[in-house]
Amino acid sequence: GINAEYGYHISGHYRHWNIATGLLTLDAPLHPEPLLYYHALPHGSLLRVTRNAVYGGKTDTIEIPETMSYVGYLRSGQESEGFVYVPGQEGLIVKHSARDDSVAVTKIELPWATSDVKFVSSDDSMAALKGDILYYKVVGADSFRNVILSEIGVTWKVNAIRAAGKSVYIASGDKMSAVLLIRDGFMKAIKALDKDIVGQVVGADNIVLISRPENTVSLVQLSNGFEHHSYTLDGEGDRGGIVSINTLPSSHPCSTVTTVKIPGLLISWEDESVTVVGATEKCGWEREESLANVRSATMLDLPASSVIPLNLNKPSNPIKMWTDRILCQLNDLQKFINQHFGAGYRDTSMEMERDSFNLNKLILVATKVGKVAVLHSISGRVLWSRYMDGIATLENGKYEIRLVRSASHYPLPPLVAIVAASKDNENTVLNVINPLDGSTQYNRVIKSKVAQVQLTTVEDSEAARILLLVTRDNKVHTYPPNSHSLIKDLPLYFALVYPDTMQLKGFSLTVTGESVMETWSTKFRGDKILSVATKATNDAVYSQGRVLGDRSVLHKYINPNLIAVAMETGTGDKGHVDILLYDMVSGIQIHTVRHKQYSGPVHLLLAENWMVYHLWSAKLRRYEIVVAEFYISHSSNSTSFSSLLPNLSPYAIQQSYISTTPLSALAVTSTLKSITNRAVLFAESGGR
Amino acid sequence: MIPVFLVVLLLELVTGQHAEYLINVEHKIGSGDWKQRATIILPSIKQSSLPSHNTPQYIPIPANEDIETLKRLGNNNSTLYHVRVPFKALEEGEGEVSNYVSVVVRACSIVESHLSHSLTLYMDSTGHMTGLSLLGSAEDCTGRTTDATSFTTQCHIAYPSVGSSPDVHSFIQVKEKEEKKKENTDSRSFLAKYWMYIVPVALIVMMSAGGQ
Repeated sequence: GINAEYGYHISGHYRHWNIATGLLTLDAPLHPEPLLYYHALPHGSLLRVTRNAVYGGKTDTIEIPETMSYVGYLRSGQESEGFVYVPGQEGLIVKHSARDDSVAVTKIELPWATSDVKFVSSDDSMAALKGDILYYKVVGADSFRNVILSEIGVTWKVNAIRAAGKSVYIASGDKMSAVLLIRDGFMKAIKALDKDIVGQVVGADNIVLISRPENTVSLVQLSNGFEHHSYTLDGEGDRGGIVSINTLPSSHPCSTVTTVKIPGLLISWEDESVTVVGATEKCGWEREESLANVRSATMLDLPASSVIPLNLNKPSNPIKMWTDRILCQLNDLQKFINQHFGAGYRDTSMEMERDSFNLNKLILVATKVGKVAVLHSISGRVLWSRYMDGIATLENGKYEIRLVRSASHYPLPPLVAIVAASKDNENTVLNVINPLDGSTQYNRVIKSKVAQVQLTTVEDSEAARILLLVTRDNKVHTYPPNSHSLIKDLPLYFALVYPDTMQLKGFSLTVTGESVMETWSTKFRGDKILSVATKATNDAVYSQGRVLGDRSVLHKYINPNLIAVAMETGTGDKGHVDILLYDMVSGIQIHTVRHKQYSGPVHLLLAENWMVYHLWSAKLRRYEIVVAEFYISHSSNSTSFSSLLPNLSPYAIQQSYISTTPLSALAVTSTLKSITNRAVLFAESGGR
Repeated sequence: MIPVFLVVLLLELVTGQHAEYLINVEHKIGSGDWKQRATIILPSIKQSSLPSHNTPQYIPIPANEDIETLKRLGNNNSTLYHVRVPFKALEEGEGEVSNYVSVVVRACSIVESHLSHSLTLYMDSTGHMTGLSLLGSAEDCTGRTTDATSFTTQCHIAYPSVGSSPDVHSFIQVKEKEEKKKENTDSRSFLAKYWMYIVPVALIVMMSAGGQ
């Protein structure tokens, strides 16, 4: 692309081949000056306009002042033009005619083109909106014409104009739109509608308009504004804006050939879905391409029984409870018989019910563009999907998804909270939805960036776990809203890593529960933080020590609040990797290791009383895996552990191994009581 | 001329021998103010084999220790005790630093370990702190009080330990031993080894059988 401010810096060569024979017809070096614009000429050479000269045509050197910025490139048949201007002053039009390979530069005065005026160019014309006057120019004209919009029938306020194809623009205001066309050098309004429309020119004389939010497609003839045909796109929900429209050939089943050819359309939408639509019913299809860009996902359990509600929370009279239970069990018995002995019986309601090993789950995914979808884990079918306009991923490239209420509390719906950043990245958006059908239960925009999201174990009166959002200004927001009184006694501590200032800070919840305060901090002296790891919250250790061959016991150092940071300094032979281990609550440093002449990427894993990491040895050109286990020299008498009452100083036993491949992920298995031996999973980048 | 020069050189060597590094240890009880608790003088910041170079000299400032406040607030289990050091060990004449490395523990743990604890400063080779460690002997806050009237601190400096490297050497040695053993054994088949005895015996048998 071409940067409008500085031009395009190409260095090297320009080569042109004859496509039929493969012969190189032109090979020329390019001048190392920033280009303002360029385009290929019919006979194979390249017309280049730099700040000081125009190359490629028969011309003299022209000077283009530094203050001009490039706007657009227009083309019509043999004529092409490039346009540069200084806001509020003057502009230059560089015209090239392929007929005689001549280049002409014309200066025009643009006192109206102040820096807030935006130019929009369609194929062969350019337009700019200023207040209620529209300035426009076609290829070949020497100056801009202007028209007052109310004179051509557009009496309402126009907010923006968009290009829709050759010489066609769409002016849009609040809920009103008009189609404008430049004919014979003059701008005319063809059609005005009281909806929000997007459109694209198809063929020679027609334009396809799609009005939102009703999603009606209509084909309008440009010569007389006559609307041929219109039909409605089905599919529920908002898809965002249209990214591009392409017409399908008349042989496609969606294109109808009647007295007027109505082409089928291939539309790609802002929510990364692609649809093919046509006037005939049942001819089109739809694809969800956004699922290729999933950024965050979570698994949800299904409700235990979808048939009869078990109102276990509300005590009612015993007779009713007994009959409810009997009915439920009779129903289960009926289903069991049908399943095993009924021929070909398949109950589709089973899809939304938990099966015996709890393998039937829902997968909730949030994609890059802000589309949230729920898939069925066994069939992969998309249950529902919704485009949430205005959200974007958080700074770590993901969304934070938390299960606030599971599906076991019938009749209360399950709730999932999705924390995202707003599209302009300044605010935080909290959406709480029901994952079974996608309806929004709560929506809030918080006016600062989020620093931490924590799901506590405290439940409110409706069995919803309280979700805490800590923002950058150290304030705590809760969902359900204003539940600070329930969480104020929670011993909540967390640590934040600041990679840009190379700091690690620890925070704790204040007495009122409405804000957090910084309790400890440390600063690293390195170039880059490579990786941070903590233990899983439900990490349990089954045995307290390791028995050695001579019957002595090595007592394990088990601290559930550890955080490990891997940092690199320098590169190559002068670089080193530091691994630092801190206690997240008190800030006490437990361990530090330096690997000289090593570098990242580092994968770090903390579990039980050990730490595994995988790093690259720059000196010996191989990957290595290092295992460090922490033991204490005597067992402590007390069975309780507190990070704020430190009395243990662990020592580390390390060993390292050579690894052959780079890794993409490192994880450890976990079971309910951690009795089974834990396995470390190495996901190699080759896919193994 | 030359003796004067030599004397001056000797004097310089003796007096300006090593620059000393100063670390100010500050503490804060609960939500009070930061007060300087002690000064640590380090002869050198580089890890050296001479133990005297790495032993810090811990000089407490008793006036700032605030033992009474600590004992009073230490009864409350939720009071926190903060300790911080500057991010860099300062040479004489260097200015203040704006970054600190701090840790936090419960005030009652200091009181119940009779005001005796060990303070370890983790430093890298350029004099920058990476972390602190403050360990006492108390395992639980049971509400005991102490008669001690001043802090007893053991101060250590710790440097990053060297990362381990895979033990390739012993593995290679084992492999080489196996190779040598393999070389000594003869791996030919039975026939290839004893054909020179089998062939004459076979000939004799055939000839005697043919002769009959």
